[in-house]
Amino acid sequence: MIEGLENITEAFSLNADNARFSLSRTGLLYLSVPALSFEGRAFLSLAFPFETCEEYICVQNEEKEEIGMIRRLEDFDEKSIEILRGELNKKYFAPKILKILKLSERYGSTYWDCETDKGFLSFTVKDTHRSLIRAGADRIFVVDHDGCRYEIESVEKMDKKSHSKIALYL
Amino acid sequence: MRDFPEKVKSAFLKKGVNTEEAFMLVSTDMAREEVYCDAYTVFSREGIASLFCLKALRKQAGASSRFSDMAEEVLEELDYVYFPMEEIEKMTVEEQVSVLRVVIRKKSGEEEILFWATGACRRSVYKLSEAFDAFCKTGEVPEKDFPKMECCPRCGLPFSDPQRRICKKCFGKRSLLKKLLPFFLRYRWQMALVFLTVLLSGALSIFTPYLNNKVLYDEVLTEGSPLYGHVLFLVLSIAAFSLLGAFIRMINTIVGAKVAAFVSFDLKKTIFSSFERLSYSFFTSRHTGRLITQINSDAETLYWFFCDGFPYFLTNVLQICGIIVVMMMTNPLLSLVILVPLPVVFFGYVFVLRLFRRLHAEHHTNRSRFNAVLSDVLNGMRIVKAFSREEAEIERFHSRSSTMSQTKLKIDVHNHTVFPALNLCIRMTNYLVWGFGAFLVLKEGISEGSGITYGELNMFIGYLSMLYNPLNFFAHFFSNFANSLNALQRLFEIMEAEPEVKEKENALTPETVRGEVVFENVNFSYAPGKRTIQNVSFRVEAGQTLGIVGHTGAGKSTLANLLTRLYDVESGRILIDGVDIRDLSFETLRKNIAIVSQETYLFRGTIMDNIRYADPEADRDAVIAASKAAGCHDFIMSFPDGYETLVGFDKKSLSGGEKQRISIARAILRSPAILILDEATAAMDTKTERRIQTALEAITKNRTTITIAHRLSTLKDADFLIVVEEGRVVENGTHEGLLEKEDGVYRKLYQMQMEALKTIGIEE
Repeated sequence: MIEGLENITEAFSLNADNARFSLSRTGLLYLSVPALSFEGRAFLSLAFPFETCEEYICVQNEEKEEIGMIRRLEDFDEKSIEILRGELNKKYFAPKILKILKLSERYGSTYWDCETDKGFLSFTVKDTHRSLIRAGADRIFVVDHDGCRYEIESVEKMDKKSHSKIALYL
Repeated sequence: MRDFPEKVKSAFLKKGVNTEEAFMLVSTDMAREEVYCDAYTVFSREGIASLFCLKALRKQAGASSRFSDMAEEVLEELDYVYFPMEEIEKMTVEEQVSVLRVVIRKKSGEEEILFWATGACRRSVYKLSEAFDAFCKTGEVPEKDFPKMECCPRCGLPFSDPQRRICKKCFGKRSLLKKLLPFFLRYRWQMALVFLTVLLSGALSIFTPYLNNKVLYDEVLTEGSPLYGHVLFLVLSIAAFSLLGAFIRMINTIVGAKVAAFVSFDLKKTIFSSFERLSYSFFTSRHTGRLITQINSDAETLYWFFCDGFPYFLTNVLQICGIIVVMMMTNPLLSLVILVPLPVVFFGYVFVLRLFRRLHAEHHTNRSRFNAVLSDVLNGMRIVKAFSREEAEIERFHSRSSTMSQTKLKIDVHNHTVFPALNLCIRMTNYLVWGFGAFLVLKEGISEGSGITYGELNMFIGYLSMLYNPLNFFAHFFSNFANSLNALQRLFEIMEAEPEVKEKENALTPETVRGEVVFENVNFSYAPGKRTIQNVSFRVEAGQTLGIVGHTGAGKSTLANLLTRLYDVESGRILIDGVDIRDLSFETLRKNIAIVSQETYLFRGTIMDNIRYADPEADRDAVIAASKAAGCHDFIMSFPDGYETLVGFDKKSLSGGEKQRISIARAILRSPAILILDEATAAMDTKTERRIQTALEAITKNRTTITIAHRLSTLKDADFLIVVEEGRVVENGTHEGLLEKEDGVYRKLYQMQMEALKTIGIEE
């Protein structure tokens, strides 16, 4: 903590003792924090989405105001962790690219045909170099021209053909 | 409104939903869970129904969106949901990172997901949400411009990016070269002359070995032949041919050099004109380094293709054909020995083409990245030094520089390994010809007519060495051709990109503009998934002053960008004097709206040029008057060169406040009907700000003025104010009226600022 900023930067830390997460019948996330007299829908955002999905999770209300921060997911019980992981997976939905079947470039856009964990997908990426987000040594997110993300868990572990197709843009 | 496949319509009908009576039909691509499928939503007076079908992954190759709205063979229902209108209280679109979900809040308080959708359906989903809101407010849905899917005219597949009408299926190398044809035709006479001289020079070179060898050994030096002993005639003939060849090559060089200059200039002009045509968003989404590389080096590469590549390619093809024909006519058997390794050489070249195309693309990328780092560091040198980050920046520079060197090295290494290997293949052929030819000459000595003469063998060897030149040319041609194809692709990327903001055909150019500005339910987002402006409406009468207040990032400057049409609204409309700005010509907008923003930019040139940028025809008196009004006359006059002081990159450096005042003078000179002051005095100290404020008040009098400011004191005299928060107008009214509002956002902001000013000893 930077000296002198404690009072300004301190966020309400949410944990199993002061917060209870639940899912509605229709699958929406709700939160109850008696200490803050808060009860209502909750929205999660990762502060460091590429570095860690289990720490520094910001919890906001419908007005996008911060209710508190989850420092570590393990501060909650198993059931809550399952609920929170499920919600984060929805928020950061990104099909995993298993194989690049075809990657062609035309006029500065690249056209991808990929085999993903959600099946065959085809998408277009504008300004490819800027649309590949490095999230660690060899984990990459591809952002298509609609803003949809696709994850390559490990570029190095990809098959040789897929790797050679993407190598030019790395 | 998009039509549904017949089977989907009848499926809805079976469930009691008539799609023919619907306000809106929306196709999306995910179910109520995050699962890809074809989803169809019907919004009608009675309610909202969504049908989800197992279909999505059977996409047509090339389609960009994840739903295949054209297909309708099988309809496997996954899920169906229906919400009667009387049960619904609200519909909201909740953005996630990649996807979005539409949530229905029932009057019972329960909330339920209607469907999920990927970013590909964002526009349709927001149209649905806006139509629903409009229906809740007015009981009607206004006629909307529903986005039409742009399709390739040849194969009918939708373009994956509507901004670039490029079909990935139909577009190839051939299309690229076809598009280049008009450039050729522009210089057709010069090109024809270059081509003709190259051709003549090639033809002469084919004839030379015949004279030097066959005629010399078998005619001039052989007893009994008609030319026996005519050495002088032969020498003079050879000299004449050489002279003629040199003359033709000289013409070729002169014409080629002239064409080169024209082509290079023309290409750079074409690329730059294309930049000018494109919308602002094109530049904000690209590396400056890459664009600079494009203008500079791509034009040079393409020039090579025009002047050295293509004509020599054709000539060399003809030369090879000519040599082979002559050789076949002389001795078919020996010619076949030469032709045996040709397939190996041919496939070698195919491999080389692919390899070098990839290597050049890689090198281009790395060079652009290198340029980007260079421009980044040089532009931000002040910050680099302030934070003592020189070492880190040197490291970053080294890293990019070394990557670029490595790719260059790779190209050089391949140049020096692949081509010698190909040459070796060719030399082996040479040895074969020598061996086999010698055998045929010996055979001829034993029995006349059974082999070849010594002169013929020498001529063959001469032709064989002549084959090296075209083959060597091809080796480099393929490497450079690969480079040209990449450059061409990049050139057409710019030339064919569709500007996001387009001027309408027959756009209106009214003679006078009064300056009434109306925003009607305006929505806008810079990037998918983040609405910057949400349902903003306000009216500024002609001659009035509107103040826009809000925190940093609230969307204030975006409103100015939308009014000047740097971007177009996503929905809603902006009117000037009752006319939608999309119906007005760019000329009308640029002439009648002037903007003074926080980011000031002075072009290289004199202060006079910079002020006159707004009106190049303005005379000296007008420039001085504008400068006096903007409060910059005094400091300009303190410079030794006055208004002719050179400013801009590497010239006289001005302070932020000085630059700002020059840009105010620029805006004053234009004398626009609508003046936008976007944090115009933000870079100035309070004293200077006050001085300019007086000038600004004089200028803004009887002129529609939109003032965006952090310092609320500068907005006190505005006719009315709007307070913007997260892209929405949360309050509006006069300064006094807003201050009276208990718990009002403006009142809080104002009180906070007054207290802050008091602490530094300034009383408003």
